[in-house]
Amino acid sequence: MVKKIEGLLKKYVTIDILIDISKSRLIGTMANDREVLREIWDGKLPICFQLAQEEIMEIQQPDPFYVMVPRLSYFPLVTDKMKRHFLRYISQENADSEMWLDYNGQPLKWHYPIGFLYDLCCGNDPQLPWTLTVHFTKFPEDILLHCPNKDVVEAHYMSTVKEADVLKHRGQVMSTMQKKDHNQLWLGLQNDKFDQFWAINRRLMESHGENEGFKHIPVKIYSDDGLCSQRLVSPKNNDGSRKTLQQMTSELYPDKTDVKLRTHGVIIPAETPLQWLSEHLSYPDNFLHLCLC
Amino acid sequence: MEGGEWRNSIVSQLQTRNKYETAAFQDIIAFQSRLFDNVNTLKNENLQLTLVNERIRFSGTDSVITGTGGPSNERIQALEQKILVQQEELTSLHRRRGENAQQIMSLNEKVHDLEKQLQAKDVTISENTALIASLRAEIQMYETNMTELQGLNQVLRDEHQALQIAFAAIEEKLRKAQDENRSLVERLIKYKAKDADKMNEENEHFLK
Repeated sequence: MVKKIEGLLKKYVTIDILIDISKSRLIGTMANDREVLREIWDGKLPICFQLAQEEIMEIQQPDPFYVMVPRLSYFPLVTDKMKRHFLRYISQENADSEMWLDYNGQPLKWHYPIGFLYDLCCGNDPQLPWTLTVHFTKFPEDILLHCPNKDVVEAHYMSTVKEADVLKHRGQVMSTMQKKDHNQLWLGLQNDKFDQFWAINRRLMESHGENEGFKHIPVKIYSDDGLCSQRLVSPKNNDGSRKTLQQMTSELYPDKTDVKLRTHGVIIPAETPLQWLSEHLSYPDNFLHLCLC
Repeated sequence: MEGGEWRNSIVSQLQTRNKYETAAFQDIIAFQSRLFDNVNTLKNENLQLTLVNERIRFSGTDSVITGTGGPSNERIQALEQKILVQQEELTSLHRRRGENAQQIMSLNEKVHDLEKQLQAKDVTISENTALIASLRAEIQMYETNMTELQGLNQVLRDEHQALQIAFAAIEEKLRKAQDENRSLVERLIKYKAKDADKMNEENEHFLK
């Protein structure tokens, strides 16, 4: 009689455990907090483009060009109209040369997302609208990559996504996708279509295998001077618990105590779990771009 | 959904961010860009109108001398209309010219390509004719060879026939000779038998 009761109890306990596991699994795979994703996607920056003084070839000063650009986009994707506007004011022999941008004399790298560039340059001292200078001559060969057309941006973007996927799932998700999925990802970003983009991107944000979470977290941390450091970061501590931002910074910067990181114009709370952070606050290239501040 | 202090903090920071960075500027920049476009179109229009004006003044100087206020105004309007129409025509003609130039270029390229193809074909044709000639010569050679062989064959066949006839004749002779031989042997046997009989008779007589 006693043995029977014990057996029953055991059964109940195991069922409880099973329910717990299935709950946590549900949370793990359902991790797309649409509210956060939408707020991030909708972030736009007002930008004021001005032509560099020494390149103006007309008597009349060109008007500055104001435009709202998505924080997640890249500069070569949003500057067509601006370029057409300024082409009228520069000398004809420079009309075919490549355009580049600077902020306060510092050339801006087109292969970073716009929002990240703003956080890097003006994170501590927000100045809106963000005033950028447009150049057509003296391309800084040693700082910037050339960008002859949008295909180059696409190639760079796809390769960054692949790199992130290798860190997260050993590259399995990207390689099982078809060419049309890759296209949809890129077109969704290029045309600012949230649903189109996330239909594909959520597959990259899912966890695989028996253990919840990614293999490693694709993260790049930048200091004030724009230097980037990229380390192998696991989403879990050695004991299997979720790693938080605090724990990562104390591992990476043992000598600093109060490290604050900014991304998407937001200071991240220290107790945020890294897995959640990577799933929700990554840029479209699937990397977390964090600025030290 | 997962959540906690940190999530609320992030969401509220994002909302403030969007309020401050996006919502505050969205309308004013949309308005600015609309004004910007408007200014551009108006500038262009202005430029065109001054051009038209200039032309009218130029062509109108003589008509002003001759005509009076009312009708000259009408005439100016008519001329304006005409100029506008002609300008449109001019732009369309320019466009056509550009298109045509483009077409000519592409057609030239095509011609070039085709010429190249033609040359390649010529080369293959000459190669092929050379081949045909050599093959013809070969055929000729083989034909003569064949006639020779046929003649030879004929001779051999005739010879064979003649030999066949000779053989038949000789065979006939042989048969006759054999027959003769056989009859001679028979006769010899007969005579020998007779001789033997005679000898036997003589012996009997002798013994008696």
